Amino acid sequence: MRFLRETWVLLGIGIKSLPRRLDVVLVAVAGFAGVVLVLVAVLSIGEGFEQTLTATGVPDVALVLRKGTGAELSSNLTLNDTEVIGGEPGVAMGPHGPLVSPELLVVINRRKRGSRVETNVPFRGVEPVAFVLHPHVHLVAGRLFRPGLNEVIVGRSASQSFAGLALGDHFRSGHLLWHVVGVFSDDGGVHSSEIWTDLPTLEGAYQRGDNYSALYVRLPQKADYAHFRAAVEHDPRLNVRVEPEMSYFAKQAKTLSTFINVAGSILLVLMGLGAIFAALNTMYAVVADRSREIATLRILGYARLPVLVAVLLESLLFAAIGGLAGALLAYLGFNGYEASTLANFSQIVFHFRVGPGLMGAGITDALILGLLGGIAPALRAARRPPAEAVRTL
Amino acid sequence: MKSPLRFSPLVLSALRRHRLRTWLTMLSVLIAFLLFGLLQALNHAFYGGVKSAGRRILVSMSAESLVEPLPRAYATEIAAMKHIDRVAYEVWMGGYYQHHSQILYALAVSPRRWLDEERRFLLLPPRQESAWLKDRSGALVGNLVARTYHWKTGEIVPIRSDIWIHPNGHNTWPVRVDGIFHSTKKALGEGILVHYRYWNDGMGDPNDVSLLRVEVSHLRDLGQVARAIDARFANSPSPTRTSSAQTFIKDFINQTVDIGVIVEDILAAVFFTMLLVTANTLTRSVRERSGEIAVLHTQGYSRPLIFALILAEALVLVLAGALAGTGLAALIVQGLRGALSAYLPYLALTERAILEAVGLALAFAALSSLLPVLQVQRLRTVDALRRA
Repeated sequence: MRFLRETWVLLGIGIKSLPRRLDVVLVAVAGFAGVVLVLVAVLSIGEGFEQTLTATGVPDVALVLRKGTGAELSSNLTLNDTEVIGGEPGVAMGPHGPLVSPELLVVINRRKRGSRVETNVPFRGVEPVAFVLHPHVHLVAGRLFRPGLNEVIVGRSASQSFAGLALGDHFRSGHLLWHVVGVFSDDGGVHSSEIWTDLPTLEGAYQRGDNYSALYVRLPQKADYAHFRAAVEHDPRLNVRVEPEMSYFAKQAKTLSTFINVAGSILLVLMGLGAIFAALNTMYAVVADRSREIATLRILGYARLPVLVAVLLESLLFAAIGGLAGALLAYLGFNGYEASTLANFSQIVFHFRVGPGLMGAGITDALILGLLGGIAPALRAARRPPAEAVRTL
Repeated sequence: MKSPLRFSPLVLSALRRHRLRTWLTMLSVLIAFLLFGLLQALNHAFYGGVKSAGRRILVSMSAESLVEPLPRAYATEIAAMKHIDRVAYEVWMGGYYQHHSQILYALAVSPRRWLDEERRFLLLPPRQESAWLKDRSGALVGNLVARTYHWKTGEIVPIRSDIWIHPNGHNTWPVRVDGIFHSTKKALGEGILVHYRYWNDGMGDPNDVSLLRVEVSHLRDLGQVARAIDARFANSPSPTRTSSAQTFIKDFINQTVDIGVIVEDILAAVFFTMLLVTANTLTRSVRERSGEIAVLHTQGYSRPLIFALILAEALVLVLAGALAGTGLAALIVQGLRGALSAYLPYLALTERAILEAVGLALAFAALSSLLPVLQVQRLRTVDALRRA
């Protein structure tokens, strides 16, 4: 009880006398805020990109690519493959036959809005069944393309990020003029960065005959995946490989996420050290500043431990304020910040994501730094013999 | 004229007054400049390749996208245009070795044209060069790739392609290592060159290329030639988009991620924080010494001289930290270079970055002594003496 009361009094005096040394304290707070701001901002890039890729696809769909290829863009299948795969075990049936969606993916050059950099925007040709296989994809404005008329629908992110892709726009690619008749959403997935049209039109425009890139297959039962995969990969008529749709997209996030996480850890260690030095400086100054009152209270019978705890708590308080400020600044400055990057030679638009988890982690880091920076000054304050402190006044 | 160095004991004693505080502040500065050095090295790792591209080189590719090919006949047509020295072409193999994660930077090129363009950057035994020129299924391999996979000359290695599939259905392109070269261009050491004819025969004579590299006679004609090329093919089935090689590389990196902007933002945040720390240390130190400063004043030290002393104190503090931080960054970069050469061949702390660090340190010292100087400016000697 006495311990709590003494700690409370010491902490109270510390906080009430803050205005006297506001400048030093602000430096420590700014140090913590800086670390948390930079850390949260950097990590939010990886978080946002990963979120976009893991939000893509549904669990019961598998992706079939040509064997030896790592991505849709470099894969190549034919109409014949579609028929063979449609007849394999486990494939779900729809009203018009097996639920398999042949899709052709190409990329076209589009200028990024507000910049002169040309980027590679994915352009996908699909059949009507694609909307069953990609249930997240739905129109949010305009209407669907009509086959054979060079009409396209554009993902919301692509429409916002790239020039000439707004509803009603016409854009030229190669020798063809395409008309944007609709805008669709993919509920935060990668297809939002794409342009879609009907498959035969795109095959014609790019002289692909009846070739396409990848086949999306609906496998309603979980047990079917292994069967289907074994059947397809061992079928002598086929030369393909199978992968769950979700893992195909999630894998693409790995390179960038790893890079961001490594860079983030290095930044945390270095900037964290900087913040600890700043905190040490501040807390030593605070302790020196308060040596008179601490000594007086010690002579009046206050124990050492409350002094130690009160100083530590003060350091933690600065860390909490700084950490909170940094996390909030990161949220205000970077949450939802639109960026895009190249994955498999096509541009993916994503948004930085400063979520509660990341902000919490940032504040926790600040508290750890506050503890590390406060402990030595707190020990000095607690250990100093009061007689000596009073003598130096 | 007495040496200004006679004031150095005064400056040093000021720094020694609170040793711990001086050390901590110096370490903060060290951290700031260590980060500066590392981020500059990373920036160079991304953009260093831009400068290595020849300034008189134009890159022509399909206007539709980078995966659409161009007809090889364009090379001949462009070579006949005005103000052009040379035209080379290449096919991007999309190669990998054994597994997708082991990416090979393999290009199919016209061997003579490629050698003409790159010879001055190459170290290649003449016998290996002539062996490659004669061997249609042969490859020239950069020393860094050869070292990574332990390839020797004469060995046959399977390059697998993510893009090109033989008409027989396989995506493996076996090549014989005819030569292993060293290059002064770091990125080239990661390269593999195969004969264009090997690829073209294998694919059944599509006579396509991924891109054309056009060397212009005079730098001043660069823009004009680029526009002339694009105008010439504007109404053909394969329109072109031509830009300087440097722009081409920079655009490609900017598409991946705009590293420059992010690096600058981080540095700005770090420096702002460190500036606060240093300025605060100096302010406190000057405030504590106001009595001494007043005494100096009564001894005939002018205000400008006292300002100079404070600035000198800041300079010693900041420069010591900055030099140590930059030096440490240089050591770390040196250590990482070997390990990361396959991923980031341009990772380096350049002289320019070091000069920038020194410039920053000077500005930093000046800014952080601003506040204490103002403080002294406001100080009335009589008051300060009374307090002391």
